[in-house]
Amino acid sequence: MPTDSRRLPVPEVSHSPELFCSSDPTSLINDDSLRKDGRNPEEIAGIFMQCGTVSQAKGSSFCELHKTKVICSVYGPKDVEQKEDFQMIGKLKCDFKFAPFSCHKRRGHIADLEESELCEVLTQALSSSVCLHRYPKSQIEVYVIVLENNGSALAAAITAASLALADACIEQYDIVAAASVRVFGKENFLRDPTFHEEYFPHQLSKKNDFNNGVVTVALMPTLNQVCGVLSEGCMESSVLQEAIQTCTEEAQNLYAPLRKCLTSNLGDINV
Amino acid sequence: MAKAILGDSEKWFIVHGVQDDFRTDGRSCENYRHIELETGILSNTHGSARIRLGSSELLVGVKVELGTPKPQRINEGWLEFHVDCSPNAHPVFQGRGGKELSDNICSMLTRVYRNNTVMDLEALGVIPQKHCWVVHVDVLILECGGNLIDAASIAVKAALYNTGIPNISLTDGDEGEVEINLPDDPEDVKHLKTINCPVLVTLSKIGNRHIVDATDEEECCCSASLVMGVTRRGHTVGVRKMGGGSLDPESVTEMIDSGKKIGRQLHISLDKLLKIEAGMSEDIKQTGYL
Repeated sequence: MPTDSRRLPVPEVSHSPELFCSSDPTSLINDDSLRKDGRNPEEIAGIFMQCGTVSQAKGSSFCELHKTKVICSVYGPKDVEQKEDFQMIGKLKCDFKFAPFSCHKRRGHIADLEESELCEVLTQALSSSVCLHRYPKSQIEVYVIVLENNGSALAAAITAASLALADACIEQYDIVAAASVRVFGKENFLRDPTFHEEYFPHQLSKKNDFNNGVVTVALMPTLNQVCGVLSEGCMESSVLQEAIQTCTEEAQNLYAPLRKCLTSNLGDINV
Repeated sequence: MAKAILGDSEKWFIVHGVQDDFRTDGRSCENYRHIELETGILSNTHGSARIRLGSSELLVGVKVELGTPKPQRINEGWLEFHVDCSPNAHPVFQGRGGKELSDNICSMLTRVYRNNTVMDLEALGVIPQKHCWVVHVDVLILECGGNLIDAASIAVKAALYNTGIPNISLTDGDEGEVEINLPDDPEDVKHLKTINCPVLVTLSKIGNRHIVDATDEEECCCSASLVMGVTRRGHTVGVRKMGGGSLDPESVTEMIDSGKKIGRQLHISLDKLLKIEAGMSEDIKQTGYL
């Protein structure tokens, strides 16, 4: 693996000790049909959102979904880089990064395949909401850092990024709210999964790895348009459709707190 | 990404055609283009396939190598996907120009193969904690004619079907070490079980209908598409929305239904073709690539 010589050297191969302890992913729900953190399967996680957390940025936001913490800042619109062609529509540049200490496993400084995939999903979800034709010849930069990953990081990142764009006064058709669901068997949809409830195929065997997976949906709540879908794991298509439906409903419910967060932020300015 | 350049009226022509279930090349919305598939064409690989889907052409080579198992799965091997967009296909792919496209295809392939149902990874284990087979799947894009994701997944399945892993034997060596012996006969191989390998189906939304197997002109008219991995039994193994547009929640449901149906049909004809191809390679002498 190529390493960056300018960074602090760490051992090339090292593993988190938690890999070696046994976990039992077959019992995400206990006998009282409660999850490990005491929530009902249907129960959503507590969410906290705040705008204007980074003072130098044009717009910024901080979002907390159970223990998952995401910070996002938006810069621009500014001129496109010299080498790039003239374009009549603006360009949305996103950067999605897990902080090195955010996950159980230490993350490298260079973006891995998972990060670049999530970045692409984030970009595509946001570019359907931003009125890019209003920003010709310019680019808008969105930087997302996951400070602590306790599951549903992508959903929190999309919500935070859209909030930061609104805070930066970038014109959008609608705000984007995202939610994710852990599919656990045909009947159980665990909303806002924690890190231990996320889908790790290596914890499951061939026999019990069916109708298991994670689905994340990004939605524009007032327009009722789905602007991002990402799923993982093998499941029946009817189960997938139902999971998408559950996510859509949950994202719809996020609209009120998002609105409240934005309006309360405006109130501060007036004072 | 390399895109065809179309005028507004050309786009409208395509969109209106799709509305009437009649596309510019005469297909209906749910038809694939003609697929040409060949397997076992590269002698230096353990398995290979070439696909031509309309005017898209891809070459897939599979190499197996011995590696050290991952600590979370000590007696299993793994698959690794690499996608290369050759500047032969389009000059914009020069340097890092094709990175976005290749990352997309690569992450989508990794996503649909990342669960326990599609492949028996235990068959790739050699000695627990010490050695396992690592299957490197390299996809090379030779010509872009639209719908590269579907073409890549079909070619990957065909190449994995064609892959033979050397039948190594283990003997006890000195000091409790195990020696690995490679068979002398290169034909002495075991084949991978690819029966549950998924194919990817891309459904592109054009106007208020969705189409499969979009050509590069049609891709220009489409702002959002849904890529889904479908197994032979019709299960979905990974879905992602691509493109900068948005979709109606109802049309997502519709697209998943038709993706499942089309994916199953695709599997039936692909499995049939692969069986013929495997039988043929014994009595027809190979003449080499192209």
